[in-house]
Amino acid sequence: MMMKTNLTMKTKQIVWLVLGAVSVSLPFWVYAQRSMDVQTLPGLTSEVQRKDAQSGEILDPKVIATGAKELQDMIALGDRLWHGRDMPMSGNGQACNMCHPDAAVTHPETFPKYKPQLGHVATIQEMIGWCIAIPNQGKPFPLGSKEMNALEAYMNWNNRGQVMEIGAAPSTT
Amino acid sequence: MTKDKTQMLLEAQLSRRDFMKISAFTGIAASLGGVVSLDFLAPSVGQAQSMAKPFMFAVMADQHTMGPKNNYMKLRVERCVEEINKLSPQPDFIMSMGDMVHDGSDEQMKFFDELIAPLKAPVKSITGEHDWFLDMGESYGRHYGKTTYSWDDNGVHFIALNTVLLRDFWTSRGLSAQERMDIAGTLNNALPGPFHVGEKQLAWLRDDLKKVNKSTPIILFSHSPLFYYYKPWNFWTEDAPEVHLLLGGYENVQVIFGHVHHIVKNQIGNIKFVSTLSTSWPHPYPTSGVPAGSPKMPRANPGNTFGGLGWQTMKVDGEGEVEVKFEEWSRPKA
Repeated sequence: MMMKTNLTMKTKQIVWLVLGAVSVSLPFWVYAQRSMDVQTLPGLTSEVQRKDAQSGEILDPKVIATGAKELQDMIALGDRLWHGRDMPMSGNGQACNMCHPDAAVTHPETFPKYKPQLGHVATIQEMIGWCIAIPNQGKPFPLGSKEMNALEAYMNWNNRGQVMEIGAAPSTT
Repeated sequence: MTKDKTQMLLEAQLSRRDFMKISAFTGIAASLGGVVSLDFLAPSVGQAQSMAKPFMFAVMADQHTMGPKNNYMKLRVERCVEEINKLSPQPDFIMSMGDMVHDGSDEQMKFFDELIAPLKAPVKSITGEHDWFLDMGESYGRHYGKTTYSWDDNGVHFIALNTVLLRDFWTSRGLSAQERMDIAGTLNNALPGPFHVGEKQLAWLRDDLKKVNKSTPIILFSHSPLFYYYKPWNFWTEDAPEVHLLLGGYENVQVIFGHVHHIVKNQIGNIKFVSTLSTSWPHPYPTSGVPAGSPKMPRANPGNTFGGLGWQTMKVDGEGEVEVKFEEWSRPKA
């Protein structure tokens, strides 16, 4: 009887110790996990950049200017790719610009949405990839790659001002 | 020194001095209170007034074949050829509305010619910019002959024009033939500016119409829309209003055009305009410029190889009225 009581006491002590250790270390785990998440974001490579990104201070005008220039460069790259008729954009001479001059009727404002061709709720980059692979018979760039982001930038720049309307199905060509 | 365009158009019918004389004469006659007919002043015409005989022709457009590297374009032309061949009775003729090939080369035209060789009815053609700007119509001429011509059949006067002429944007820039083709063939490239019919063809049209009675139905084939539709995509013929002036007074004028790859209709005065479906890809409707009252086709399914594409039959009745039937592939058959 005495032995049994001692054992129960020990078990309780162990449980309390474990719970204590977990509750004390939990904030550190969360912090570590968040740090890892931030580190995996492209562009935020250094400790300084990460701090700036979360500091809430007014952005440096130089950073804004650099950002605008970077975006313009990406739109220009997207424009070139949009008109591309050679691999990897196209294997059959078909270019994005033929069906979608000025990125017309691409409707980025309706994405993500269910695409029957893909069988799931897809992002606009997945849809761009489908167009490169099937009508253009090309080789799609990986999602989130510089080229894919450039194509998305060109598309969105040409469609600026559209009202966000996720899932909508446009009625005319 | 080139003559003012309006002046040239006026001269074709009446000189300014003659016009003043007639005006003065009309004024005097009206003041005398008499009923004056000016019919005798109308230009004489060689043809007797004729009614059209009902008939049918087929139209295929904007095939954009790119040789063996693009199987989709090939499949679509094959389907078009197969379906036109199934028509019974066969059409009087088939009009190919231009942009038969995408890059203007002799090889691509040979490839296209083999695809349409099984067609049973005779084929006529007009040129599109994609057929033209690699060698400025040299290969086109070898394969399809003239680009500006007319003929009379079943009481209708048919006219075919080259409406894809562009200003010389290549010489001063030292562009290669391939670069010229690529720029002219990119819908939204602003460098070449809008399409033109040009003075030479306007003069030809003026002469051609002299022999046509005002009551004779006219059907005119043009690759580009012969009206101002949407300039940023070159759905635009700069001197279209001059063609309208020449066609003024004719009772029944139907213009059939390609280039826009979707269904659009318009009417300006006595002239009706109808576009044609392509067999390559559907172009979107522009955000402005679609004529009021024009039908719009439903959104094409990019997952359907034949979505938003097709060809058409055109039935002409005794009055010369053209009834267009769009054989749109993505629509369920009635």
